[in-house]
Amino acid sequence: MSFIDNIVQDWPWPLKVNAFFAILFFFLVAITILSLVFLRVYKNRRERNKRHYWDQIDTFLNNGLFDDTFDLAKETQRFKASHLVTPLQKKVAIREILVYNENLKGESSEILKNLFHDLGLDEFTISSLTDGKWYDKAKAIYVLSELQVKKAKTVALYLNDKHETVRAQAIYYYIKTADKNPLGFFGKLKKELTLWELIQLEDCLKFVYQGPVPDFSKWLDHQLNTVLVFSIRMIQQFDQYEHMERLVPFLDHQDERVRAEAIKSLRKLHFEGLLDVVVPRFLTESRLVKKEIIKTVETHGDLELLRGLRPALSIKEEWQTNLMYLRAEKRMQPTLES
Amino acid sequence: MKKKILIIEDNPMVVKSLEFKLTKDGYDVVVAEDGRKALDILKEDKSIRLVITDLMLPFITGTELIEHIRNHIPDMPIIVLSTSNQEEVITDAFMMGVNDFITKPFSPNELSLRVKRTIESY
Amino acid sequence: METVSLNHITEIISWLFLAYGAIVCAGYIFSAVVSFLEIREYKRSNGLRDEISLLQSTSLPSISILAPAYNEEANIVENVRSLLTVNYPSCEIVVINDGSKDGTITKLIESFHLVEDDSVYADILPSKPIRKVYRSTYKSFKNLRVVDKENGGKADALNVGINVSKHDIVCCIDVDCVLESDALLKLIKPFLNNEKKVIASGGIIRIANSCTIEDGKIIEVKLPEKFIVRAQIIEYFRAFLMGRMAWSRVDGLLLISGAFGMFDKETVIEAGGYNTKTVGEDMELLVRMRRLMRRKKVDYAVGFIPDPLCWTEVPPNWTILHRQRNRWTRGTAETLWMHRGMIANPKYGVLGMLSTPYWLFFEWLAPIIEFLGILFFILLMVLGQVNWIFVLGFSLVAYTFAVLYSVTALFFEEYSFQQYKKTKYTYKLVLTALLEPIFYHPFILWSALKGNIDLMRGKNNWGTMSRTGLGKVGDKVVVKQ
Repeated sequence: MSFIDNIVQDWPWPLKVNAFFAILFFFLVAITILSLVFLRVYKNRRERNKRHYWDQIDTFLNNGLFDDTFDLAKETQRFKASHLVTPLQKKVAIREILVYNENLKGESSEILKNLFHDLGLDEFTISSLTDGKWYDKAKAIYVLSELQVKKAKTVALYLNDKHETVRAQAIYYYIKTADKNPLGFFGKLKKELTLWELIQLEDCLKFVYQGPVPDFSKWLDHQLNTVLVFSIRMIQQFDQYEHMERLVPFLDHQDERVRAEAIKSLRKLHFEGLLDVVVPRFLTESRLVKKEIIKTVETHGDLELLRGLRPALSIKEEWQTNLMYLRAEKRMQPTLES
Repeated sequence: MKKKILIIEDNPMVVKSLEFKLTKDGYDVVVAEDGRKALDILKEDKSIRLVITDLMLPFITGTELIEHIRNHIPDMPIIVLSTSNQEEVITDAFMMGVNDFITKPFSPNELSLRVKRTIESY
Repeated sequence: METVSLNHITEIISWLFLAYGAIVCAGYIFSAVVSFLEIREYKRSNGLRDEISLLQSTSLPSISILAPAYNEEANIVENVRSLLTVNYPSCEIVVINDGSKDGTITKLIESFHLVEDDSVYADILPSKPIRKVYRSTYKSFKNLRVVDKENGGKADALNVGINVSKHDIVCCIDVDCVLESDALLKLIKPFLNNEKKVIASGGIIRIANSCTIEDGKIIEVKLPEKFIVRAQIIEYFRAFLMGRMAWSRVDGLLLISGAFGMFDKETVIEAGGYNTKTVGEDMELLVRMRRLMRRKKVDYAVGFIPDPLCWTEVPPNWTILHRQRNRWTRGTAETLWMHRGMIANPKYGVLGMLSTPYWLFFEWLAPIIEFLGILFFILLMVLGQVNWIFVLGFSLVAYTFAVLYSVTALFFEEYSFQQYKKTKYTYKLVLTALLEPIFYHPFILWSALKGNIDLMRGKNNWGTMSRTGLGKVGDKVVVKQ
């Protein structure tokens, strides 16, 4: 040691600094490479195990679902005891059950939900909900919602979680598992929803929620415009013709997105008299709404009515509306052959 | 002799289940993961009695595949198994002459009945 | 007396180079840390839901995919087929034949049964004339449209694509790149899940050389045998996983790769579309869009998705690589020059105070400074002023740091997406990282220098380009029937 000390002592200080950094970086490189190799070997092994577990759970599920001679109760206990010991095995099993559940319905879907419970996977999921990190919680809530596990009280704790992903999953959970009134949380909503959230809500309602279709007109006096847009859209998507009249006032709403959505819904619900209301407004409307008006004329009106909009276009007009108009006109023109 | 069914589907889970279920029902099952392989199989194997296909497929789409089958093997029954439940997609499919349309998620028992009905009516 | 002052000068210059090196290192370390946080956050919040299930939603916005093609006869049919199978509920594919000299257009017409499409399109962005627009008579290809136009370069072709496209979101891609099947779903998400107006989103570009590709899908990711391609893989990891991830987190992203990016069409048009006068049209467009938003005082965002979404072939030999890097350098320099008003301008926030200075000093100036460093070293050598132990020490620090940065990028990839799955690939990549600073970097340095030299020579271009600022096309009525 003293030998090295002696050499270094004679060095000017910049050289010492250089040597220090070179050695530091060298060690850091070595450490990074080692962890790189370790991570690779670890992940590869994990992948191999996963594939193996995947095969096991897959065979088990297919037998359970489609083989009438399969003693489900007995085999379930056996599988649980021998193949569902480590957390990784359980995670793979949950994932597989989710995939099956996503693709199958009817009796098979019921069997899957029972298996989720009988294999003790619900317990595992709930423990990761209460003890896990935020992303484990989000995942757990997602799993519970997809498999319709009723744990409303436990999940309620996360409706105001500080992580947005957890909070969103908790909301979706409520929609998916509700017996009725899936949109009850709208009452407490303070922040506008993003387009993404609207799509998710629609998806949850249409494909997972199993209760009676809610009355969307309940939310037509909500203070958030995105909730209005959503409700107006759902009234149309779920064919709630009885609320059609209630959409008419929204043609005068101050937010253009609400006005446009109202026209769109009324058009798709074939509301009589829509043209009489919207056509005169064409000149003064915003571009987004103009687009919907042109579409409405194209679906419910005739070429003459469409051409009636033309004077409004000849004034300095955005090219987008012009283009929209010309495209509609072209589509409505009878082709030469016919 | 067992009747042979061609399944065109790229989701391994769905393939495995269909294979399992339809084999239990007493059919011979052949699988193609994409449209191009399906066309090759149809060209080689003349004993196929029914085609079950997804619409969203790699390389050759389901629609193209259906058009092709209708043009070349007009009397081959086709069942579509698709995640899409848009009206437009379903009517398009029927216009092209598919025999049945099943949406995912599907009930395996229902599917098995529909397969039986379609095969027997040919 | 004279030697003293010379010593003095060399010392000052040495210090300047050292200081520059230290700043560069600090910047790299900072971006590594920030990127790590961003990748971890992305992984954690996107680990639970298979986006495929969203396919059922009819509320997703429609997208127009724009794919310019020039002399692509050999692969065009395969490439378009692969695009047609992309997983998205509502999209159209617009292939723009940019006046190819080969049979690209005939191949397309034959294979996809094309007939003339007489629907109306906009003529809002100026471009070379369109010869004809086609659509298919087959139901299976009803989402395909092909535009045949006169040659005008990639930017011009994309502008035509924007004119012809029907939907409000456009996705510009290279026709020969391979998309992951859920690429569009992932790239559209930033547009939807944001309270601000999103003007663009981009993703990581992956290298497809040597990968097994069947029917336009990546079947197996393989590590190329060629050193030159492996070195580019490491370079891309550094640029995307460490560079752009970090920029995205601080909202300072200036570049969305031309190979795969999604844009809000209206903003693109309002900004004036792609600039046909620069070779760096992808970077220039985003910068101009950001300036526009800033001028209009609209709160906006640019999205970035770290998932591997798009695979593309990179230059497999030194000649093509040289040409590519030469072009990139010119593109960067041109863009910086056109938007020089932003550099170090506090009015532009992060863009003015961080992004543009970074591009100026680290991306554009770095090779020049490095070159000057070498010249200076040679000068010292001639003057007999070189202290070899110092040189050795300094080179070692530089080398170990370069390697450290590369292996950190490798580690990020391993931690996040791990596309190269075999263990032996790890060893090979590490070896490449060790060799890259010695055998690859000097070549890149030289290409960049050459780019600058070419730029100086073609002075003519500069004059015309410096005048191209923000276009004003927004409110003209120009529609073609």
